[in-house]
Amino acid sequence: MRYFSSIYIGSYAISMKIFEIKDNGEARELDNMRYPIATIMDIFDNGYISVEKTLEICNVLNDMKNTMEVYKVKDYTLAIGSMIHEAKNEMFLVDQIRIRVGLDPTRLTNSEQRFYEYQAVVSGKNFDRIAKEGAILVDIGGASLQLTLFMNGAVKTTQHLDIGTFKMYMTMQRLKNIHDRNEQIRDVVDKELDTFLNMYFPERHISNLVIMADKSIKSSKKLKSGISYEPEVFSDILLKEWEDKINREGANFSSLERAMFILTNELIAMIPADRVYLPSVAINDGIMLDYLYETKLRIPEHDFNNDVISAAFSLAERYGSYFPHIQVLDKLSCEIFDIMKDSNGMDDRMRLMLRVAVILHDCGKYISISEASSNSSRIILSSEILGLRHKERQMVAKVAEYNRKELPNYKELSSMFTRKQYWNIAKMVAILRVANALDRSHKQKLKNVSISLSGNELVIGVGTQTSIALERGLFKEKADFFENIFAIRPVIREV
Amino acid sequence: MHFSNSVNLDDPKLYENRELSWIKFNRRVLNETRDDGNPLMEKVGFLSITASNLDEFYMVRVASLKDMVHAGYRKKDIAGLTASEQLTLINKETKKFSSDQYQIYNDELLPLLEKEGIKILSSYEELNEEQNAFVDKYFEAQVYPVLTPMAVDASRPFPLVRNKTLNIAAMIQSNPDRVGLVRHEKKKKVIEFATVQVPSVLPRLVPIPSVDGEGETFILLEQIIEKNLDKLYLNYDVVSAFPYRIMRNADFDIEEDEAEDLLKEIERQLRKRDWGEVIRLEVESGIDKKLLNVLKTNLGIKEQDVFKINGPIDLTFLSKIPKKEDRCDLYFKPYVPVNNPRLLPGCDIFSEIRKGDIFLQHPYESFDPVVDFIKTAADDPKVLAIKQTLYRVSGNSPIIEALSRAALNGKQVSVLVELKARFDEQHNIVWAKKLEHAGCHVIYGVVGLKTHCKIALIVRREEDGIRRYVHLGTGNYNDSTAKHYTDCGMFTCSESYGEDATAVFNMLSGYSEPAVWNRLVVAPIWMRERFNNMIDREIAHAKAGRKGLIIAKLNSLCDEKLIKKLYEASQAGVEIKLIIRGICSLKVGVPGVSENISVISIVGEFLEHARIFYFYNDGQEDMYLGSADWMPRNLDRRVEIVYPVEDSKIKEEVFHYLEVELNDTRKAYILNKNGAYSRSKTIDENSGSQEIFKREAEERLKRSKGYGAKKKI
Repeated sequence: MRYFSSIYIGSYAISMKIFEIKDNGEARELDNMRYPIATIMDIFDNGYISVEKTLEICNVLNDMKNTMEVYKVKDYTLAIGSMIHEAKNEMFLVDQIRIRVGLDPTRLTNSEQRFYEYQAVVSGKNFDRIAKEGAILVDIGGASLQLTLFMNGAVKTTQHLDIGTFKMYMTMQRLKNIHDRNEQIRDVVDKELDTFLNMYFPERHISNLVIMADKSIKSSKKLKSGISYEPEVFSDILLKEWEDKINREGANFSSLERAMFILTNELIAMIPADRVYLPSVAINDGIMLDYLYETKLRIPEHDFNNDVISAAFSLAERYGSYFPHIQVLDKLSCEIFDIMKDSNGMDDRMRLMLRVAVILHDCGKYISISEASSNSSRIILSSEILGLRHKERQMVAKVAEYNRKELPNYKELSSMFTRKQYWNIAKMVAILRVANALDRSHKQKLKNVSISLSGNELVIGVGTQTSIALERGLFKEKADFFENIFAIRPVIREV
Repeated sequence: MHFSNSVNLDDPKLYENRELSWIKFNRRVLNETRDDGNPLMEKVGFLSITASNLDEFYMVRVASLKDMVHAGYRKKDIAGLTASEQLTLINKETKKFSSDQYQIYNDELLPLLEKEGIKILSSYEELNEEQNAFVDKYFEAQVYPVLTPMAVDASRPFPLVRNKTLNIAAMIQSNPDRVGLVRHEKKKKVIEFATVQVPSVLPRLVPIPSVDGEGETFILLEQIIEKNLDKLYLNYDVVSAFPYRIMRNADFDIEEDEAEDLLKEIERQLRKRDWGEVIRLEVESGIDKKLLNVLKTNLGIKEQDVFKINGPIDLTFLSKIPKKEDRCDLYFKPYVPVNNPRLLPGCDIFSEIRKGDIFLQHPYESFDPVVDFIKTAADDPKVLAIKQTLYRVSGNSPIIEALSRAALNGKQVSVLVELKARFDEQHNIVWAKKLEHAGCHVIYGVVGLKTHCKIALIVRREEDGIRRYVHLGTGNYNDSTAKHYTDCGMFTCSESYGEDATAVFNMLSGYSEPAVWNRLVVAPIWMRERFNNMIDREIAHAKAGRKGLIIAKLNSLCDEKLIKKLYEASQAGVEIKLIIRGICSLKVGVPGVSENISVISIVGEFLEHARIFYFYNDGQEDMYLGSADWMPRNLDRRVEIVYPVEDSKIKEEVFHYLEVELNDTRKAYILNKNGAYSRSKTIDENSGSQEIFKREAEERLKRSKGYGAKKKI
């Protein structure tokens, strides 16, 4: 039996869940604490978190730490939400937490944060069915919305829209004296959503709309988590509650709540769906699941890697990549990776990154053929790929970039990557280059190859029927690089 | 029977004013002094209780109405009365009540006491020579040293007269011929006002030698002082002297939002209680008019708030008559709570709870298991944490001691101490500090809400993981009152209750409430709606032609919205049986409104205190126990818990409990259409519910293996 605590400092609250975990990976929630503290207010008002709020955060965390001690919790993740990064003094907060609380925080990037949330949602027992039917998962945060589109059970795309509840609230504050400010807000939301839907989802009808909310829905007393609603019923409940609040609180009904209601309601209106779901999970559940997967206490039921690959292919399609080429490269690079991995300390996570790099390595041609690698790198960096951590996405971008460009020495990249990460980039570049060289003509001449290790050689066996003069001609340079990295020389042999 | 809904349920005529209803309750207690089933000393005890009840009523309820009048608050209550109108009616009723109290004291109880050899002298003038000498000696040796006589003149302002203290007011006249410390230069005789507090450190009832040495004779302390008053004002003559007592406004508001340290703020406010507005002056009837005028003027009190008492002021002294150990017939047969058959002394309480939920009925069953629950946890190495709410605890509470020990043993102990528990504030501050000192984490609750729920949670690490043990009660964690109050409790280690209990304590510590509760119904946010829904459900059943039945046992019912909902239910044909000890603002038998509602009130040896709610729900029979009454304060301004009973055997027990009370014709009063309470026309002498419960608790124990394990007195 082990105990794990997942703590999250978000825009509106600090939350902690403590789990009891059996050896078979079964987890039971023991404690659930949520302390409302709108850090986001400070950040938007002043650009930094006030000393008072920092101390309050530390006090709450100390209290949570005491609770952890009750259950004798040793393993924990204290995650700081991506919104907090916008505070100029974020490092001060991190430092104070270390000094005053004695817990070591992890700073989440937006993609990591979204992934934890997503991980929690998709682990729900009905999610795979919902994803197969088609679903849009909307994660409503303080600063932004994250929309993830699922088709045929896999992620088609995920997009980040700059219209979180708090940003809406700020806009409302600016429009304070305007008579029809609710309408104005609706227009802002509609415009952003419209762009997303036109680009990625012109069909405009989805079976399931899944809403994850940091605060908006959670402030509702009538809408219950873990239940699905007909959109009209959902809207009616929401509007009724809004009216009740206005009647009850009058002018005191906060603009923040107003913004939340408008935003949620517009989502329902703009995304016609058969059912609206409110998952009963929080980011803390996702953090716990990540711990279970990382420690191998549990194997995920949902194939998250498939989501990543599916999202990468969608991105490649959007940028007009030549699919027969990337498909054959995907196959070749995986075969090379698999045969090399045991002797080179490469793991499944790296295989996934390599595949994404392979799938997206030439998507930059969409912008400029001569600067394809650099553009591919930029596209990767500016696209959300749900399931890849931010650092992993940076590594993938570099692999795509150095497919054609020369890999600089470690010193140049040391501000971004650890030495190990650098070596992993180099290994992936080496594999991509060799695989790419084998389909230099983009004609998939080497569809049926056999790859094997023989002493210090990686033997790539090809049939004799096809002319592969071009591939052979360019292969030497790539093979040299590969040999430098792995101390194994790739050779092409006709069989 | 179904009625149309045309009656306007907002009509104030459909509701009884809560204060007047409370006075009726106190009258029912007063009636116990006339119930021949009660032994003499118990009758005397009941009279004393009515006196202390009335004091509290004045300090809180009347005070708050006076505040409303001062603030110009014109809103009417549910019965259509303004605060000022209520005060007029209260005044009339309490004066009548007071007169009845003294009629019972003088004409009924004093003669009966004397017959039993207990003589309480009404005046020092009744003393014989020997007694006179004894009293004077007692005065000089015991009383004189602790007296602080005060005189009032131009240079000495009217002194602070403390709330609820007994005092003697006197008119004294300077006498230059008498020898004293103060010399009067002028020959003119001056009349001055003087007052002296009857010291509360000395017993009010002073035993003195009896005539012929038979029986026991007592004189009241104020009579001894009055007799010797001239010794306090040496160069004065005492013109007249009479005892008096004032009641001050003891209802204080705390600006919790602005109070940095709630504990300190309450300490500060408590000190102010002694300076509150005087709202009642009690004087002996026959008091010198001039003396009364001085008091009225200086205390700022109007004639209508002066109570002229035909006997000794403050009858609470009656509870201090020493117990006559050789006269068992004068008292209730001592009842020692029996053990619950599943929680016999020495049992492993946690293992018993694991076998299934345990239901406790206090005081018929011992409160010891609840204390043992905390005591065992304090020393159990497997226990990680103890969390508990405390509202009123006993003087030397074993629970406080166990919690302190647990903290010293390294357990995490969180205790919610309700500092705002009325009249226990000072007491609570003392032991809150004690708990903090022992290392407990003391929480003072949620701003703006009183924490009234009774819940204890023990977190234990067992072989198969963390297990939470929960105790939920309807009464306070007070081992002393648990012997006199009827309450119910339940132990469970059901996971869903454990999760909810954890969430309750997180909520009380300032964390957000959970999105959903598994089992518990918690006020203020969720409870009102839940009760509404459950009543609505019965209405729907009744309207659909199915049986609709609600039984509720409460201390008080005065929430307008819920009463209205009950009226609606009655109109729809739901049968509603209410067992309400105290205030009931609902009226029964109103045509078209409440013909399906019956109300009884049980007043007996033990104070009825449990809250039980039963909803037939088309045969599903939902039952809840808890800490909440159907009063606005419980539903809107307090943290309360009502918890469902799920175990079928316990459900049977709870239903039986209600049935027995509903069939009680011996001690129950029936609320009539005219708002008066009366006994049943046909009384079954054996139907007294408290007696039945005593017997049943003993029988349950006998049937179990634990027979013979009855606790020693």
